Amino acid sequence: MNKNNIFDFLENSEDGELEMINRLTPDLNDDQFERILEMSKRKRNAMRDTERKNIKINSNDEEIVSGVEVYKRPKWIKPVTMAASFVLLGCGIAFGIHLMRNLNPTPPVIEQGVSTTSETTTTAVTTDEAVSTILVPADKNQTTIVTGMPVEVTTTTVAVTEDATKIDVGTSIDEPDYKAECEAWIRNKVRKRDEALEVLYSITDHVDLNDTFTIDVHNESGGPGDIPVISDYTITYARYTNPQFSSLDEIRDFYIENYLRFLSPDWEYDGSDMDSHYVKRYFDTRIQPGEKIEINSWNKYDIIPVYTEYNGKIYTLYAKESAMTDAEYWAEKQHGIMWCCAVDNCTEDYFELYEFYSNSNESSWVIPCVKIDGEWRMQRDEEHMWQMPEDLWQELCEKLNNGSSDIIIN
Amino acid sequence: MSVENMNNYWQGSSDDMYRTLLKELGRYVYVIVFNKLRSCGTNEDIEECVSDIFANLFIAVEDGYAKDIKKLAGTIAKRRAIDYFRKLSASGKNTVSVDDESLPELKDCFDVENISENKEVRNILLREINSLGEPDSTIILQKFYYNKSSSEIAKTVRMTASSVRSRCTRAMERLRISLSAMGITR
Repeated sequence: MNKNNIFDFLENSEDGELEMINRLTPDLNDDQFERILEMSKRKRNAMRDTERKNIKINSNDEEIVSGVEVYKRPKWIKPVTMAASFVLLGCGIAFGIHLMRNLNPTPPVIEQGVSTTSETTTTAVTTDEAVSTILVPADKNQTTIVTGMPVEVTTTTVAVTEDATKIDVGTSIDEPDYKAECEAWIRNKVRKRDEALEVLYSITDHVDLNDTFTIDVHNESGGPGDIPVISDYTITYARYTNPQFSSLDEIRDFYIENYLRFLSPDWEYDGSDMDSHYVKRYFDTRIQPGEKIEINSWNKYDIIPVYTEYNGKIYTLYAKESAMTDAEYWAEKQHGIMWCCAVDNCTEDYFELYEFYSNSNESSWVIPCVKIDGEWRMQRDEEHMWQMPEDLWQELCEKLNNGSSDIIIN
Repeated sequence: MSVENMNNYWQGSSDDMYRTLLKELGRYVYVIVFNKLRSCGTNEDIEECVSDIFANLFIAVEDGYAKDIKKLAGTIAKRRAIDYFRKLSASGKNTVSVDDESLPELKDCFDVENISENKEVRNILLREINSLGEPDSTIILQKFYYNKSSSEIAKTVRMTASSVRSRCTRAMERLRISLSAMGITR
């Protein structure tokens, strides 16, 4: 009941209520009638005009189309499109080949013609009752004698076909004479390198146990502030009788020339790197009987020489009571890993040395070798050498497993 | 009223048809429009709306798609009246900005209880007005619902203005008594 006037309740009436109001409402008076009539007619005319205009606008937009226009496509479009497609395809293929060639780090080589040679190989065969016959191909010009229990030695002729062992990655320009020369050179380098390693590793060869002296070692391991772990032991040096060397400097130079410079042809013993440190440690430290070596692994002055000179004689570290020598450490670390190499693309003054490990391709390289002033020289630097492609490494490993004579094993 | 009936009223002229339609349905349409726009529009607004409705009705009859003209007129009148009501109400007084502080306090205008109560009061009021008898019921509706002056009412009921005023006073007193008896005391 919040209306101001009770008749306000009549607003928004429904149909029946409106009828009642209608009955109580008089007709429109004359003025009102004429006013509404005129207004209605005017509005009606305006609506009609708008309607007509809309019809006119809509009718102007309509276009009546009749008949059929025959469309004739030019005949030349199809062959021209096909030709353009072929041109594009060809360009794409050519570009792809161009990219592939540029991305391949292997320099182009010329494929060698098929040639077959035979050679006679003397082979030692070792058998016993439980093991089937093992065939071991040997190097050319070498006779291998195997001793053991019980042994049956036979001689057999093995026909080696070069095609079977040819490294057919890329094209090759090997010529037999050049390849033989390159192989001979690298075999000699590898042999010398092995000898240099043996100088370091084989501490039981060429020793005279009747001429020895001992050195006391005091070892404190641990860094500054740590409680040191102290150990005292004795190491023994025995006379080194290898007739190949007459002085410690010769051993040192032999090691440098044949091992370190195999790995780094330009290496110099100037104390600027770890190799210099090891050379000094192994070959350039003189100790006398009765001396005491104090070592501390933290301060890096744990120098225990492998070789020393005393009274004009060479002595080598023969045994100790604890702690593995570096030589033993490296020998153990390299156990089971086979270092191999092979040559390819041999010419008069150039060949490529494939250097790889049997267990991983990560340290496998292709090293170009060039002949300068009649001397072969490995270009073992990042500017010239490159990482061995995976497929080449796999093929070399297969050759290795098949016992190919092309693979030179450490 | 059907188209056939309408044909009997005019003689073929459009103007006659317009006059006939307005004469027959003018009051009916006006009642609908006035009922809706009474609180928000002026007399001019109401007449404008009525003329709009008749303009549409003329066209509908001319084009021949009106079967029952009265129903059509009623439908057009209600819808157009609502349009006018919204247009007139949207002038500002019934709108509130969303940033206004009073916005959360606004109630839903659809109050079922209020609607039901109004309907009941409306029915009682109309019944009691009707029970006053003519011409008092017409006079009192003209006076208080249509807000017409006594002289304007006098013309429609063929009485003098003073007679209208005296009858209006007495009728209003009777209505108040009867409504009070019904519990409507305002």
